[in-house]
Amino acid sequence: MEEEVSAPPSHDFHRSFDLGAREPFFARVPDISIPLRHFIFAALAFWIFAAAFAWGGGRFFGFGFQSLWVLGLVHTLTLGWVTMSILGAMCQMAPVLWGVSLPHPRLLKFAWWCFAIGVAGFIGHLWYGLDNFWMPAALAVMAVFMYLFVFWKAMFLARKLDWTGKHLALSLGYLSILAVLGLLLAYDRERGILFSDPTGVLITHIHLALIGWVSLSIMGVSYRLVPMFTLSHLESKTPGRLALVLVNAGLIGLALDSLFFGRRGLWLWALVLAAGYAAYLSQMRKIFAARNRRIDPPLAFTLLALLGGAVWAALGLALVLGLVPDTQAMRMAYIFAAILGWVTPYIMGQIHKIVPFLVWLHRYSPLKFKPAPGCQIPKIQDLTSEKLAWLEFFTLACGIYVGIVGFAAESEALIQTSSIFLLASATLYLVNTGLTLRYLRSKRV
Amino acid sequence: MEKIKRAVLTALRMVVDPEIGLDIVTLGMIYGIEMSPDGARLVMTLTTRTCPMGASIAAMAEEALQMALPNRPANAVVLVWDPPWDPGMITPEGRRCLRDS
Repeated sequence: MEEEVSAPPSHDFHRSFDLGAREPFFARVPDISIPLRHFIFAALAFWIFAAAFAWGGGRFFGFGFQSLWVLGLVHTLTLGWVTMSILGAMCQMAPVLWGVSLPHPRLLKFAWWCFAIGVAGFIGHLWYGLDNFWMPAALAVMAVFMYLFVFWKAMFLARKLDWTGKHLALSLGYLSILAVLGLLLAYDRERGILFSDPTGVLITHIHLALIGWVSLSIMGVSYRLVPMFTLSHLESKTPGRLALVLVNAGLIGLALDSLFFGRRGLWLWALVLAAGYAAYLSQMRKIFAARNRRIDPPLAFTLLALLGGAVWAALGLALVLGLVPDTQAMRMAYIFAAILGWVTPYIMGQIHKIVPFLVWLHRYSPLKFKPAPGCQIPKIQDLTSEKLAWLEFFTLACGIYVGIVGFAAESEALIQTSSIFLLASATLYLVNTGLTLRYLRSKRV
Repeated sequence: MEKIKRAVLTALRMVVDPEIGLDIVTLGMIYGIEMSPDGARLVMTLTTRTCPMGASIAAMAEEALQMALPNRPANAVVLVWDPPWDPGMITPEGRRCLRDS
């Protein structure tokens, strides 16, 4: 049934109830344009990565991580897609988790512009082989510190940090270190004067990013969101607590070993990190075992991410224990498993919940408009196409595992096949996100 | 009185959690309806204290209450957190719906 949407009522909705004496939700969350601009940029960056990866086809073998082409591809994913998505999600989640309004929303908008321009400039410099690519990198790092200022201030204002908040506090700490290291690496790449062992610094930078910043954010957020989406009751947090300790211990050990001790104990830190991931998997298994809902696309993406994380951990262990040859291609398989196998499905799954939720809240919430008689407010899942989401899921899963095998087997044909699957998935994701955002301007229910 | 309570519950069944897709009665969020001559006091909870839909769901419940008992000055929605909601409070029929839908 199609009914014209009536005009928004005045905000007198708190006349008979209050949410635990807190400020109303709408007063705490930032303007919808703040998270949405992050998610739109991220979706475009993922598509650009997939298109460049498909265009590059077989141009991967024989290139190291230091080649500008590969560095550009990796940073399109890590900065444009992953970091932009996590920052956007944090802008939305922090006020809810910590019960405070995000301070300085104008600074957040300015930080987004600086970060977006810095990331685009940095990747452009890398792909076009321009000098001084540390300059746009410096702009992006400056933006990161603006975000950190806002988030740290919000944390300081919060009455207490819950379990998820503690994960996010740690991940933001790691982000600050890895951003500085990344900038120094960019500066030193053209000059070679700062580090006697740039490989050790690079290993530290990569793992602070993938484990400290991204994985800890994902783990913390998953303890909050996955039980909510599965309708599970979390009885015991013991495996999760163990995971937090092991992952931090392994990461700090790996970073110090890589920076100062010649990487002699990498096998030990890899074992500690793998044990930490196993503990996290155990916690997630408990959550999924207690679920009260069917597996929908966002939950399927989460399961795919858990599998990808296990493959990443296994590849890392195999590399340091010498179970697979330590070749450039195998290292690429390791990084590919981390960013595309573990991080990407998790982000896609959560964004499939967050963006429709944001649109619903700002467009269809009864606090914003009164539906006419006989016209029901749509459900959140009505704002996204489940069929498209399943297609995204299957093409992504094929792209991930064909790609990992392709890198490990050094097969150009498999890499090309993987890139086509990934491009299909990124395109479908972009279309589905666009379909959801269309409802923001919709005049009809 | 029982008839009025039933009318309120019927109205509350139209309040659907937009994320879960079930109404708040089936989800076990209604802890009580306290009747008085001037209206009804609806005691309810949310799935979590930080539920971002909280204000919306409470507003919809209030609309439903007003619809069932129009023009009663004492109509009110009270949100409580003890006991905390847990999925065990969903009715068996609701659980079946969640697994099948």
